[in-house]
Amino acid sequence: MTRHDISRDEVARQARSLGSPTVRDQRALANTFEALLTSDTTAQQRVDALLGRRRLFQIGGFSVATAALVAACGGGTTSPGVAKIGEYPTTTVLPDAKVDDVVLLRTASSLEHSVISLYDVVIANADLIDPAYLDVVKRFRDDHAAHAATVEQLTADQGGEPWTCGNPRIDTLLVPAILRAIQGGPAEDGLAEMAPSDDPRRDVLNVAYALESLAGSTYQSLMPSLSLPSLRKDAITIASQEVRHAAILAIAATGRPLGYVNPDDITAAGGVPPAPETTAPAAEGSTPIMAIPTAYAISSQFGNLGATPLVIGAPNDIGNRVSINLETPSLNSLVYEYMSPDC
Amino acid sequence: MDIDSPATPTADAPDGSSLRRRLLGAGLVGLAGSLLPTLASRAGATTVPPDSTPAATTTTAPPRQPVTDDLAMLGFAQQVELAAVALYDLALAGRQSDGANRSTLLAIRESHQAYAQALSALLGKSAPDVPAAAIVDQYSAAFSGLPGAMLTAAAELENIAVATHTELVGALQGTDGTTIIASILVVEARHVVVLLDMAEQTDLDALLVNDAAALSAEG
Repeated sequence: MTRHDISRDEVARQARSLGSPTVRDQRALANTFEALLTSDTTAQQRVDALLGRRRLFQIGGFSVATAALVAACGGGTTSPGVAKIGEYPTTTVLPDAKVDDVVLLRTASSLEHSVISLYDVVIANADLIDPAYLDVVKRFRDDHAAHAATVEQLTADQGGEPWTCGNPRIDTLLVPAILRAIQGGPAEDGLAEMAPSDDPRRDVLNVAYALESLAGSTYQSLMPSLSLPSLRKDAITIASQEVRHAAILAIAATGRPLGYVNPDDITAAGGVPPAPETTAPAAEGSTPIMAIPTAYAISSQFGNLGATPLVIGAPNDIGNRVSINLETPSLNSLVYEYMSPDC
Repeated sequence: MDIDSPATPTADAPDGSSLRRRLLGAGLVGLAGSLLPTLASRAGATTVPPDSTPAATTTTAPPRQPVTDDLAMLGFAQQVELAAVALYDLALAGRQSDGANRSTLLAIRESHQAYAQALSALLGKSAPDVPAAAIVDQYSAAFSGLPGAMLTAAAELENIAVATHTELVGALQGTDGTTIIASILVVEARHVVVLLDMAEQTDLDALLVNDAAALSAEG
């Protein structure tokens, strides 16, 4: 490369570039002195001239980093945070809510006790159950008591405290709503007055069917969650008895042969489903009444873990009844170990 | 004229000292940002309840896929289901299932077929895909006989299937297999009630109690 190969313009640009920081620093220094010495500048202008935006960012970043380092270096077991000055709100950490075998078993026994309580109400009220089914219902109630005892023993075997009360969430939200829909209730606590059911015995059979199905689904849903195969066996043994309850109740509620098998499964198998009982068509212009789901002894090919629909009570002004979806217990209805029974 | 040189700096490009300052500033801000979550969690005004205890040891999660020992058990379960299919086919081929009973038996037969297929899907090439011959031999006569005897035999077979599958649930390690077997046996328990009701059985113990002995692959 010779001298002629070097661009003069390029050399000049490089030289200007090398000198530019110096020029900028000189200009900044001049601004600073001007701001400090000129009498008509404001205090804010003087601060701006001294610090500048970039400088403010740097100081801010350094301050945050310093504060973080102080926090990281502080500590100890007695004080969980850095020192505080003045009033500040305190919070209480939530109790340990782990889901393990004991919690699942306590939840299962709580469901058994909730079902027992409902059966006790039915058994004590002749208006709610057809006398032909009284012995059946008593037998189911006793079966649930035996199941509860079994599950409580399993809970104790796993080192937990057995739960001998109903499920708090079911007893608080579900049971009162069911009883109110069947027996009626006055206007109270923000609820409108509710008329008694147009067919309490029908509703009781459907409620029992739904709860037995729910109980069976609950035990079935525990299969992937219980840690020990022996616990899974005990749980599914109980489930297989509770679904038999549901099947008997479905036949009682729906009749035979209509109540045997879900007609969709019969059609899929190439069979002809039995014709449902015909009901008189509603008069023209009248309000359509919400239909009550048909209960089937064999409602699906595989055990169903989905919600069980329950429609009960008298139709209201627009033909609607009380509609509830019964779902297997989840995080908001489990009986955790920190909970204490109050029954 | 060509000059091999780095890209010419422009008037807007930062010079060396400015770039260092920016990097320093960005580094400090980044450090502060990374420490903020820790700072926030430590600075929270919390009160530990006096009765709190250290977290308990967590339970080891069971395996999902069938383990080696599970394969033979699940294969046997499939053989039981295929035996049920073969026996219901016998009943449906005869005159034991006229009228409404036929549709119910068809649906039950299809359920057992679905159970065998579900187990086959789980087992893959390990699936035996043949019925348990001993069960077919034992119940062929009853399933070909009079309707009442056929229904009672079918309920007995379903109870045996429930008992067998219940034992499997207590022995299987993999939860996938357990889940399928559990979802099968709870419906087979319902089959029992329907079949006995079709046979006009009203005794609650017969409907609710399963005294059947479980079968095993070893016989």
